[in-house]
Amino acid sequence: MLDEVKGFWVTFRRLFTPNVTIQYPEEKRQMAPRFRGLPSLRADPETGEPLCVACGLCARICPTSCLEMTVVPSEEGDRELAEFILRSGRCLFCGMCAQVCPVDAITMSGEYELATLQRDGLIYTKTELAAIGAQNLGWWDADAQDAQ
Amino acid sequence: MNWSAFISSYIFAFIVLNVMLGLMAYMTYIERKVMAAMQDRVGPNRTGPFGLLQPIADGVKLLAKEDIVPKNADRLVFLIAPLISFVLAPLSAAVIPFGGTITVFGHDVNLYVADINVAVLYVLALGGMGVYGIILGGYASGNRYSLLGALRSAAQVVSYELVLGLSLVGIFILSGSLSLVEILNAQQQPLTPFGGAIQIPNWYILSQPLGFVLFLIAAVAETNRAPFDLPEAESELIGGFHTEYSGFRFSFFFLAEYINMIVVSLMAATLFLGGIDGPIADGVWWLAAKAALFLLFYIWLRTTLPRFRYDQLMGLAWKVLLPLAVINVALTGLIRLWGLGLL
Repeated sequence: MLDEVKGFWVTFRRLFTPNVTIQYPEEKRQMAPRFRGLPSLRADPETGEPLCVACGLCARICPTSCLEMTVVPSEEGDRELAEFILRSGRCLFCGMCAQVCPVDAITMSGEYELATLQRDGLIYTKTELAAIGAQNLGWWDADAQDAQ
Repeated sequence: MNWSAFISSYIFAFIVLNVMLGLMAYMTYIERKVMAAMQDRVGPNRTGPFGLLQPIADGVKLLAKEDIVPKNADRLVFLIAPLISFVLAPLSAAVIPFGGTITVFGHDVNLYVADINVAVLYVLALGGMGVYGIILGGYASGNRYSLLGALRSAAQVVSYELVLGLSLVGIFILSGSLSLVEILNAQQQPLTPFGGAIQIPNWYILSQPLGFVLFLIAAVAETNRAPFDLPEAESELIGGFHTEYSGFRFSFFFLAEYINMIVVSLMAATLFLGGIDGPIADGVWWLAAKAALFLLFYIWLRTTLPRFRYDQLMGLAWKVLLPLAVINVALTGLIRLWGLGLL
C-alpha cells in the first residue's frame, strides 16, 4: 500500500521544487568550462597580433578536413596566414585542432548558435573566427586540458 | 405558476452555465500549470502574462480549424455525437445548491436552479446519458480505434456507474433523501456528541469514509480521466473516440470532459464535504474551495498514476469496488436501523 502513496508524495514534493526548464532564447545554459563550440582564432591579448604561425598542423589533423589554410610568405621572410576557412557544416567539434596547435592560436569557443538560413553562413573566414575568438579570452585553453 | 421564481431560476441557470464555461477554460490552464509544476516544468507561459491568455488562444485555434468528416463516417451521428456530450454535461449543475434562498429586489431567489426530489438520480442519469456522445461518436467515426474507444467507454460506464450509484446509497440512508438541497441541509446540522461540549460537522465524509473513497474512484472513472482514460488512451488508440474529430466538434468533447470534472467535483463537495457549509461564514466560497480541492486532486492523479490496463480496470470495478460498495450499504443500513432502535 505504501508504494502507491509514495508516487503521490513524489509528485506532490515536485510542486515545491524549482523548475529545471531553461527558457532558452532568453536564458542561456551555463556551459562547462571546457565546452567545445566553434573553433576560433586567438590573438595575443597584449599586442593584438594574431598568434597563428601558419604551420598548418590543424588543417592536417582535422578528421573531416574542414579547415583550409592559405599560407603566403611574409615580409619578415617566414610564413604568414593569408586566409583561414572553417567549413563548420563539416566540423565535428572534436577539438583536435586546438590541441595540436603549438602556439594555442586556435581554441574551442563557447559559440554554439551556429544555425543559418544560407549554406554560405556555415563557412567562417579568418576575420570572423578572430572576432569570435576575441569575445572571450578565457575560452577553453589547450594547455589546461594537457595539464589534466 | 410562479413566474418570478421561474425567471429567477432561468437567469440563475444562465449565470451558472456561463461561469461553468469560463471555469472550464481556465481549468485547462490550471491543469497544465499544476501538472507542469509537478513535473518540474514551466507550463504555458507565452500567451499573455504567465500564459493567462492560453485558453483564449486555444479556443480561437479550435474554432478556426477545419471541421473534417471522414468519408466512411456515419455522417448524421458523427455530427450529433459531440453535441450530446456537450449539452448534457452542464445540465447536472442545475441541481447543485450554491446556497440557500436570498432576496434580490424583493424577490426570493434560490441559489440553485432546481430542487428536484431525485437530484442525485438525475445527475447519475445524465452521466449515463453523456456517455452516449462518446459511444456514438466512436461508432460513427468509421475508424477501428474510435470504435475500440467507444466500446471501452461503454464497458467502463456500465461498471463504474454501478459503483458510483451504490457508493451514494449510504448517504441516502443517512439523509433519507435524494434531493441535494436536503442532503446539504442534513449536513448543516452540527453533531454534538458529548453533551454539546464540542461540535463536529455532520459532513458525510466522516460518517461515510468508505463511500467517499468509492465515490472518488468511480467519479474519476466516470469522467474518463487519468488513470481511467481508456476510451481516449492516446498511447494505444491515438485519440480513442475522438480520433476523427477536429476543430469545434473536438472542442465539444473537450468542453464536456472538463465540465463533467467540475460538476463531479461540485457533487463530491456537496455530498460529502458539506457543500456551502463551513466553520465560519457559510457561502458559495466554501463550495468553490472544496470543489477546487477535488479538481486539484484530479490533476494530481493524472500526474501520478499510469493508465490502467483494461482487465485491471474491470477487475477493480467488479472484484474490489462493487463488493466494498455493497458492504458499505449493508453496514450503513444496519447501523441506521440500530440507531433508530429497530434492531
